[in-house]
Amino acid sequence: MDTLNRLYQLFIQRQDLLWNALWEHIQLSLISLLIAVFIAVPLGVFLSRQTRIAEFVIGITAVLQTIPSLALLGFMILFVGIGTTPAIIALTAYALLPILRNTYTGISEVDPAIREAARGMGMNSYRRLVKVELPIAMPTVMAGIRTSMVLIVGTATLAALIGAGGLGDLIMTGIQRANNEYILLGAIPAALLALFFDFILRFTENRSKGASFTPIVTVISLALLIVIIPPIVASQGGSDASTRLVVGGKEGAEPAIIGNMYKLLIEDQTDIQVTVQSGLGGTDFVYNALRGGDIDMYLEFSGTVVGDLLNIEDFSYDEREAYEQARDGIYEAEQLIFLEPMDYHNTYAIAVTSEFVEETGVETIADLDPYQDELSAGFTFEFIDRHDGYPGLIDKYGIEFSNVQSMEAALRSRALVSGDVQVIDAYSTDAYLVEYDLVVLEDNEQLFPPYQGAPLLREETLDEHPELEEILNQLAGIITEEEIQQMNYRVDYDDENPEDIAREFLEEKGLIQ
Amino acid sequence: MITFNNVSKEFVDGTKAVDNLNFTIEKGETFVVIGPSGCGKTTTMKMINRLIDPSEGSIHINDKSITEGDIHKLRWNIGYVLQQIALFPNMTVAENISVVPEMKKWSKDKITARVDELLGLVGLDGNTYRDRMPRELSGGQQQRVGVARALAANPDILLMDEPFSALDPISREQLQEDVQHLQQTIQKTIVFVTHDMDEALKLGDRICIMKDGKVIQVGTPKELMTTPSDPFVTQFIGNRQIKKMESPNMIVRDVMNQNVNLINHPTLSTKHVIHPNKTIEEAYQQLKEGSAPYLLVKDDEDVVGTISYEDLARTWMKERDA
Repeated sequence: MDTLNRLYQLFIQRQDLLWNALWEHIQLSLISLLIAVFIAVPLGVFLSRQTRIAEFVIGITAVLQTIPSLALLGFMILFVGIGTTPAIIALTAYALLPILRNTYTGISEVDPAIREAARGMGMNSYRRLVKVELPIAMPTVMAGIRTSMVLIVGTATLAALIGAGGLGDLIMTGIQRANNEYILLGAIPAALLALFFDFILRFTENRSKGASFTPIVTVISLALLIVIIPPIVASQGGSDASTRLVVGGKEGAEPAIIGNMYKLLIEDQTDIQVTVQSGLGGTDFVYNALRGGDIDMYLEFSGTVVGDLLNIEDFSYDEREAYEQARDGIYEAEQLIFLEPMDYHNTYAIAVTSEFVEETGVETIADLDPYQDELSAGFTFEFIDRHDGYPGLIDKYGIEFSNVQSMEAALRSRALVSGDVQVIDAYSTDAYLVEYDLVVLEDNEQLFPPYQGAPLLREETLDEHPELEEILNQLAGIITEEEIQQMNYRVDYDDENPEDIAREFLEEKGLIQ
Repeated sequence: MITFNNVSKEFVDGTKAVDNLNFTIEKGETFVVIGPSGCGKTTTMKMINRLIDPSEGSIHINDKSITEGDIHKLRWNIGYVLQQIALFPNMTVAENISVVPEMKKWSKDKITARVDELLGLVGLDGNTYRDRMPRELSGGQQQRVGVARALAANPDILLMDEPFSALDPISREQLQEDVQHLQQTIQKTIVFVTHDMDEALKLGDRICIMKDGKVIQVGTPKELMTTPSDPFVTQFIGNRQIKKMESPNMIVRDVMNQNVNLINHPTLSTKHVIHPNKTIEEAYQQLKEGSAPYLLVKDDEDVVGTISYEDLARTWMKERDA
C-alpha cells in the first residue's frame, strides 16, 4: 500500500518526465518496428521464392537475436555513436527474426493446391503473391509483427543506457537509486504500452475479417504518422546555428552533477550551448562515445584511466603521479586531454554493514582474512575484471571469498542490505554509504590507486575552444569528498535535480553569477 | 481441338511420366482420361495448360502450338477444376469467380452479371452465396463454385482433375449429373481425369485408358466394352454395364417400343404423353397415375414410340439377370 501511495505521489510530481519518456519510448519502438517490417516482410517474400538460401538468411537473423541486447548496444556505440540511432538499429535487429520467419513460413505454407489453382488460372508471379499468397499468409505475418512489437517495447527500456531516452530512463534511475517507485513508474507504462500495441494490432486484424492487407496498412500508416509528425513540427521551430557541445556521463548521480557543472561554467562564460547526456552506461559506453565523437567530454577518474583505459599494471599510488601518468598516457594513446583534477577521490572501497563491524570488529581489508571462507561478495563486473579490483585483492591481501557474485553497480548496496552478500565494492562518494550506514574498510595495503575526477576531452574540442581549459580548470582542487557525497545524496534520496544542485554549488563558490 | 504429337515427359529424377502420347481431343466432347494412380493421367492433363511442359513432342490447340504466345493468356482460356477444389480462402465466392474475368479486364458490370449467371448455372442462388467465404460452404457447394470459377471467362476448354473424388458419394453423384446437364448447355471441350471407371463411363464421350505413361486404348464407352484392345482394358472395365444403360438412369428412349402402328391412336391427354429423355422411373409413375396401358412417347411434335408396363418389366428382368 505504501509503495502504491509513494508511486502515486511520484507520478503526480514527475508527470512531465513520464509523458516525455513515454513519448520517446513510443517513437523509438515504432520507428524500429517500421524499419523491421520494411526489411523483413519483403525479405521474407524474397526468401519464399529462394528456398535454398532461406534457412541460411533466417539463421543470420536468429544469431542477431541471440546477441545480448546490452552487448549489441555497447558494440554499436563504436560505429554509430550514442543516442537514438544505435538504439533503433539494435531494436530493429531484434525485431527482424519474428517478422522474417513468420512471413517466410506464412507464404511457404500456403496450400500447394491453391498455388497451383492460381498458376493454372493464369495469374503471374506478382499477382499470385499480392492476391493470393500474401493475403493468406497475412495472419501469420501479423502474429510475427505482434511478437516483434512486444519484444521491442521491452528491449527499448535498455536504450536509456546509450542516451536514447524512453521509459528506460526512469527504470535506470530507479535501479541507480534503489528506488522501487521510479522502477515501477518506468516498468508499468512499458508493460501497458506492450499490451496496448498488441491490442491495437489484434483489433485491426479482427476488424478486417479474413486475410487482407487492411491491418498491416492501417498499422503502418498510423505508425508513420506518429513517427513523422513530431520531427516536422519540431523543424518548424527553426534551428540554432550556435555551437553545441555535449557533455557525457556514466550512470548515476555524480556524473550528472559534475557534468552539469561543466555545462553551467561553459555557458556562463562563453556563447557555446551545452547539452548534458549522462546515464550512458558504464565506462566502456561513455569512453567509446567520446572516441567516436558523439560526446565532447565527460568526467573520468585518474585511476580508471590508468587501470582500465590504459591497462597499466604498475601505477603509482601517489595521487599527483597517478594523475600525470593518466594525463600523459591517454594523450599518447588516444589524443584525449585530461584536465586538472578536483579535490575529492572517488576511489574503490570495500564496504560492509555496520552490524558486521560490530559483530567482528574488522577495520581494515586485511581483517577480513579469517572470514573469507564464510563471506559472499557482490562485485561489479568492472571490479572483478580490473587489476586493481578483485584480482588485486587476491594478490595483495590473499583474500578469496567463498562466493563472488557479479552484479550491476546499483544493485550491490541492496544485496548487501538484504543480506544476500556480506561484502561489496563501492565508490567512496556513493550516497548509499550514508543512507545505509555502511562502513568502508581501510585499504591498509594500498590496493586501490588514487581516483581523482577531471574532465576528459577530445583534442579537437579543445583546439576549437581553447578557452575551455581555463574554464573547466576552475573546478581543479575544489569539491571535497563530503561535499560531493552530500550532493549525491540529495539527488539519489531527495530526488533533486542535478542541474539545480550544480548551480547552487557553483554560485556558493562564486564561480558563476 | 487438342492434339498431342509424340508427347513425352521425363522428370528430372529420370522417371518417365508419360511416353509418346498421340491422340486428338475433338471440339465439344467430354474426353475422360483414366488409369491407375501413377499412370500419367494428371501429367497428361497438366501439359495442356502448361503447368507441366513436355520434354518431347508438341501439343496444339486448334492447330496452334500452346508454346506460342503468352502462357497466362493461354491459361485464361482454359478452365481448370482441381481435385482439392482450392478456392482462394481469402476471397468471397464472387471474388473467386471473378479472378480470370478481372485479369481479362472485363467491366465491373459484366463481371457481376457473369457471376450471377454462373452461380445459377451451377445451381447456387446468387443472393445467398455471392458474398459467402469458401469456408462457409459444404464440399459439394465449394466444388460447384470451383466449376463456376473455371467457366468464368467462357473458356473453350475445361480441364477437370478428379474434381469429385474428394466429395461424399451423394454430392459426387449429384455433381456428375449436373456436369452432364451443364455440358449439354455449354458444349465445352472437357478433359476429365478420374480413376473411377463408373464416372468415366457415365460422363465420357470418349475414354482414354492409360497405364504406365502409355495410352492403352481410346474409344467410346461402347467400343471399350465391345472391342477391348488389351486384356488390361477388359480387366479395368470389369463386368460393368455401361452406366448410361442402367436403371434408374435409363431413359424412356432406351426401352420404348418403336415398332408400333402410330396411326390408330386415340387422342391422349398430356397425362399419357412422355418425353423420350424421361427416366423409366418417371415413366412407371406416370403409367400408374394415368391408369393407361401405355404412354405415347413424343419428342417435340413427333411420336417416336410407346412405352408400356411390359417394356418396363422386360427391362428390369434383363437387368436382374445381368
